[in-house]
Amino acid sequence: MTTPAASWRSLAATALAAVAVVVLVDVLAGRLAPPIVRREIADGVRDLDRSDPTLLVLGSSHARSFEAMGDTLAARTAGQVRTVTVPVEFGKFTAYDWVLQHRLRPLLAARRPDGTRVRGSLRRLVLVTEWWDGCAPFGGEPLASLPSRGWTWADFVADVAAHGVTPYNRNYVQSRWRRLWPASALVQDRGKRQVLLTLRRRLLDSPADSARHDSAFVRDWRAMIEAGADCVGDPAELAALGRMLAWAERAGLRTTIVLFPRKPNTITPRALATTFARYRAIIDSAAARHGATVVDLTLGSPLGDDDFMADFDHVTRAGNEKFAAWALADALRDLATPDVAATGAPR
Amino acid sequence: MSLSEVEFAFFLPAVLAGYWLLPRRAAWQNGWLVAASCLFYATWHWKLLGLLVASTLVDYAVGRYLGATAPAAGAVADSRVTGRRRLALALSLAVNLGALGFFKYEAFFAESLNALLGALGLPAPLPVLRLVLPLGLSFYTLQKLGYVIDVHDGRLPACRSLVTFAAFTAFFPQLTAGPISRGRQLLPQLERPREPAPAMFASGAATFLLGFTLKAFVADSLGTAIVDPVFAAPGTFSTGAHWGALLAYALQVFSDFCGYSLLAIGAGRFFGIELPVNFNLPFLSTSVMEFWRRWHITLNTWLFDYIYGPLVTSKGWWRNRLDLGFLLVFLVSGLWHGARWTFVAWGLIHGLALVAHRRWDEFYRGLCRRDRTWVARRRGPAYLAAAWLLTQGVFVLALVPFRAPSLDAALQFAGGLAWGGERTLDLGGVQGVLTLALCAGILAAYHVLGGLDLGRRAWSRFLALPAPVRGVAYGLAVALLALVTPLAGGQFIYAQF
Repeated sequence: MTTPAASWRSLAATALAAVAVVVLVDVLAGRLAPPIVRREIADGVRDLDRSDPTLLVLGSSHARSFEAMGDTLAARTAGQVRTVTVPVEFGKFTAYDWVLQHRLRPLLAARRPDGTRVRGSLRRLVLVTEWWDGCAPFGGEPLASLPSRGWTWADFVADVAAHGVTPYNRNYVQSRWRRLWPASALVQDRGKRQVLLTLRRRLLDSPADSARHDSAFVRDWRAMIEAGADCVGDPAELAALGRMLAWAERAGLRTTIVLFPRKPNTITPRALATTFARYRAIIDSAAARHGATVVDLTLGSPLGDDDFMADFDHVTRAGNEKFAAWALADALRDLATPDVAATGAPR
Repeated sequence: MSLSEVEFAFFLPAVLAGYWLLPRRAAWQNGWLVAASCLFYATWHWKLLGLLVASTLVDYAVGRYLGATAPAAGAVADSRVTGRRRLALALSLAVNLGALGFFKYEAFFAESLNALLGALGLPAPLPVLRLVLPLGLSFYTLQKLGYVIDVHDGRLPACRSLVTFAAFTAFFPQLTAGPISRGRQLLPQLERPREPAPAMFASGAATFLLGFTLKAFVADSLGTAIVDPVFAAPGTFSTGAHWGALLAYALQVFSDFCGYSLLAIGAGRFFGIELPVNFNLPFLSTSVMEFWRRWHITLNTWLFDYIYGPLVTSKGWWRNRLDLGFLLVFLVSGLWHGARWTFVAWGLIHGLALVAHRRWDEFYRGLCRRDRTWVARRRGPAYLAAAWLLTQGVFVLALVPFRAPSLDAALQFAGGLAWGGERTLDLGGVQGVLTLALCAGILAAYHVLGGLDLGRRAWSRFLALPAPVRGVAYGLAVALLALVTPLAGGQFIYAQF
């Protein structure tokens, strides 16, 4: 393929026109499927770096639902309860533990030159989890969520030095690339195809198609959750849970393990009797060993099917506000009570 | 790091900026390219960078020695010097082929020998090492060997500068999967200082975009939607699914490797370096010989120039044994692709196809000599259609062992082509079908634009449009690619060879 004798001017004109079209398509795509900027580990670490929280919420992506709760808690207690939430998207206990040990503990252990702790107010840990966290990653592959969301540049360089660029550590570069363009729908959507899916739904799908799609999705979810009965209790994941609880115990933190609500229509009686029951037993046992409290909200919250996003997994903004208002009045109301007495020192 | 993936979007601009900001001297530019290429390679496996460096030093030294001892034109060569020159060539061959053999074929030969001895009731004597295959080893080995042989035979002067030679060996766009450049084509470019030119950037960008489209969209879409599921469970899918997967694999392997080659050529142009063309519309070929002149051109010309040609024109036993030469070349080509019996089978099929084609050609030329109407028949649509079908059919069917992980799996898949199972292939609904139709459309347009007069005229007209109009077209292509390609493209098929 050849191009005609080009001048710098024509080259610049071609490039400018191309960039203008890409920007235009980006804006249109953003209108169709707005890019969603979610709270990530780095946001939690940054907030911890800048504050001295009393409550640390760590765990799965559902920890994001505690952001709204943190704001309410701060307002209700006149700033006595200060919350930092650290959600680990697509994580497991091993990933939460890695984030705790490598990203959070160094900040919590930091001391001033006079020896006093920079962040000495932490009293409570809320660990947000669901059955998925108790299973080993599918296919034995390492979890991509750590390089994507947990690593720093130094972690990436160390891994490349040890193993070269691999599909695993490439996740770090890809997520950095995405973060360079937070407002770009084209960059954020790449690989997800939400723009095309939305376009298809608007142009091609009838209401009957959408209903068929939704019922197939519900079927898939139910099957996946029921299959979880065979994998909950993975030794490596439980060991990571134990390490986190042991650390909190040593640090004198009051720990609450929250089994996060699931979309009701994805839960079958069989899943309740197997996957969820087994997981609850495992969590109860671990909590009992380390003096933690368990709050099981799997079906014990007012969240209905409409409060969940199209992925059938995460809660909508309105749902999060509903959940926060209910939880602070009911299942998690003791979070609003400031823990004044220090029983230990986070390390 | 791969040319189609996001890391390259960080790497390439940084290297380009440094390259064009440096003084326009060949030594500076080549030094920068060598440093960037080493970094590029080290991101894959920094320990194996040593192998590339060591073999480059050996070949540079051998080249210098061969250059210094080359007989003057018309002079009679001293037999002792000739002997030493042959020894130097043998050293280079031993180092390069030794490394290739050790890393690529050790396990294959050890396992094969152990199996043979086991069948004879003897204990397995050879340990089977599971070594990492150094990335690009098959490609840079041939490139360096071609240089050393050319210098030895007096077809090329020895490269004087180590830095230039290192840039020739390790130039990162072609390092992992070619195109396999020749010294006489690439070294003169590296010996001159390069100046930025707008035409070069423009054609580089267009070529890079086309390569990216073929690799990241066409190849990866075909692979995940059709090829991978059926080849993963041969025999279980329907007969139609087997044929669909095989045809899709033919298009995938073309898009993947042609796409990679275009990415490399496009990236090379950004540095003012022209790499050789590797594909020339192979699906338009109407004979197997023509096909191999259009497919992976740099490998096939290498094999014919350095193995086939010297053998069949030698004074020894191989002289004029053309058929055996074809078989040997394609067995070597098969083994070059990988240390597996499936690749040997693939090479054998193509070697036999070339022999059949040569015999048929001889026979047909006899007919033409007797009766000139046969000449016109050969140019007629019926002959061309039959020849096209046969050529592409041989290529497609030979992909069964090429893609299958073992001979058993290949036989299972071949069985599925005749008697498939019950499973049907889920193409992913309307969106999946549209994606595949778009892939087919892109490949058809690529061949029409490049191969037919009508297409070439249309392309010329497009290039004559005002720059902003072309920019709009390129912008739309980039935006569409951003929407439909995954962030992390699959591995290049040829990078594993």
